[in-house]
Amino acid sequence: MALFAIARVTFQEALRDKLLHVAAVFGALMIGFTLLLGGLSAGEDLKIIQDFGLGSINALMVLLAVFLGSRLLSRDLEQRIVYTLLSKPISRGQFLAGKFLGCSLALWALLGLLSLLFFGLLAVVTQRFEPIFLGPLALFGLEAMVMLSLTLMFTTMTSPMLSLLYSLGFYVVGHASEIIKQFGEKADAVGKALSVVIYYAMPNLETFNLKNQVVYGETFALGQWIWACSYGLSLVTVLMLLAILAFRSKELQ
Amino acid sequence: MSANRLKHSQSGFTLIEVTLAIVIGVVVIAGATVLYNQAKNGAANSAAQSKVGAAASVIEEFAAKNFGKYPDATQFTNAWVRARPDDHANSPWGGPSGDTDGVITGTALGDQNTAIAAADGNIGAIEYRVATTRTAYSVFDMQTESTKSVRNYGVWIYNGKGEGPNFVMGGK
Amino acid sequence: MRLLPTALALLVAGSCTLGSLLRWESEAASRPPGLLSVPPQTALQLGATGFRNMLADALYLRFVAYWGHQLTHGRNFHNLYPLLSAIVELDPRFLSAYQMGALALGDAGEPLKAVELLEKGAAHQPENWFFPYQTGMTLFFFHDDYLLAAKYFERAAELPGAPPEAGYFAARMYEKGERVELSIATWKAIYLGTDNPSVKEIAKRALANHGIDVPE
Repeated sequence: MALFAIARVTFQEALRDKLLHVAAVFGALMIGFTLLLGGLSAGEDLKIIQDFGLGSINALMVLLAVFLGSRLLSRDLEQRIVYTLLSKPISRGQFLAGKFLGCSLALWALLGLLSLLFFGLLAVVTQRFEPIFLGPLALFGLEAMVMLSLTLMFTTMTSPMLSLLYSLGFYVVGHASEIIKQFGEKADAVGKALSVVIYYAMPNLETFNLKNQVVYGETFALGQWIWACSYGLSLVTVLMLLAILAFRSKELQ
Repeated sequence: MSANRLKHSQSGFTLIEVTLAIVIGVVVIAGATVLYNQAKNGAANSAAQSKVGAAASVIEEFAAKNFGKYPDATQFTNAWVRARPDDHANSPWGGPSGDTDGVITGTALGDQNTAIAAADGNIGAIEYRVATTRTAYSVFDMQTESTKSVRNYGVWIYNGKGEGPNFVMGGK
Repeated sequence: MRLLPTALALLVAGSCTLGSLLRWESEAASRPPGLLSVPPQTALQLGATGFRNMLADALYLRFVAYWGHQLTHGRNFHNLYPLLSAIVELDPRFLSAYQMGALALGDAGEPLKAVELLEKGAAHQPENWFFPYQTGMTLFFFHDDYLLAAKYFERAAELPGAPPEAGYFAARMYEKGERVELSIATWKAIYLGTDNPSVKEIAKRALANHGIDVPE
């Protein structure tokens, strides 16, 4: 099927992308660096290693998803590849979905590599394997897919630079919506109304954030994790549908 | 001839740019190393102070169980080892706990005016740095400059009149 | 030709850096020694996004390095409480921050700020004996308020998982605060409220020390 062929090619291109290589090296360095940071913690080295390790992987996945997503379509448009492809019996929706799938696979491949490094480091420090971190790590991949689909949606409507900025802005607000609502409760009527609108309109990206609790050894309910996965997949579906709709009506020059 | 002429490449770096990048890299790494060492010393001092606070708690817990009677050297050592089974002998500044050279045998506690200081030894060839705290009874505040060589960890008990150290806990 | 823009860029960057450093040095005299700057709480809360623990850890590393450095370089402590408060607001379960923070604040002559810090933790985890226990220790070590310390130790002793030392300290604090009758009542409550033979024995000896027969 054309979608999978495009996905395969996109995946291979993404693996050859220098940005991914730099991200992988940077991620490995960051995870190694947490060992040095642990030495500065006066007895809290394990917590520092876990927090910084998970935080680095999370941040890197989100940033890479946004940067790759902003270039995914624009590069093909600049190099006129999209015209060649769309002249074949491939719908615009299939093309975009294939691009998204291929790029997502590349992100998951990077996540797998960084997760291995993280577990390796933890095994060196604690001499055991901690499976509890698998859940939060998987949600990092899902959050990256959400950010990728969001960025792709913006790319079909505006320039790559603006789509990058919008996506990062959505990320910040998506995580801070609870805090904004709390601040809004102390504000005037307009501020309060605005904070409520933001709280309900923006996607709640904190749903994918389990890293803060697993560091304290707290297990999370399977139901909570399944809910987060369902929420993520729903968001991806909605955002990709919007992206496809926008791309269908986009005039390609 | 024209076939052998190389196309002008736009992806290379000049020698000056490479040299500059190396110089900047070396400066940044040197600066980062200095900052890291400063932060490491600071963290170790904090860890020592925290251990001193824990030592004070151990002593007061003993007194609470024994109607206000403070532990002697052996009792304190035993209580300290029980309280910190994993790191009672570790130096916050790296390395194992104190050398037994120059160990001063303890005198019995029971004097209400005692303070506790934790330090790396300065007995014989061992250099030291000091962290202090106070018990409920007395304040004994002492500062020394941190030194370069940090190998050992011990706890000294001073009496409130400023005399001491009269006890060393640590060693093998 | 590529040298000229590079050289110009370096010249501008170098001048700006040098100017900033000179200005920083000239203003150094008006700054108190050992000043620690802390970002505003609102900015931290909003900027942390999904990385609250990581940011709290970064601030904790800052605190540990600063406190340790000042311990041997003048003991000029500034803004300890704002920094520690920021850490525990971002990560309310960070027990080391509370423990070391309370020790640092007490040692720096701000025991009541240490109590305030621990009360923040207690508000977040009211069933955790750690917070009233540490508060009692802080008041004992750094504020000499034995009766208030006793109340905190009593509160700690009532919470699940509390060590028996919480009760012992409550009794000892009452004694140091010259409320011997309360100390005796506390030892009696310890004796009657436990099945642990070693705890019972300690309480029995403490009561005997006060000349009190062991109650039936």
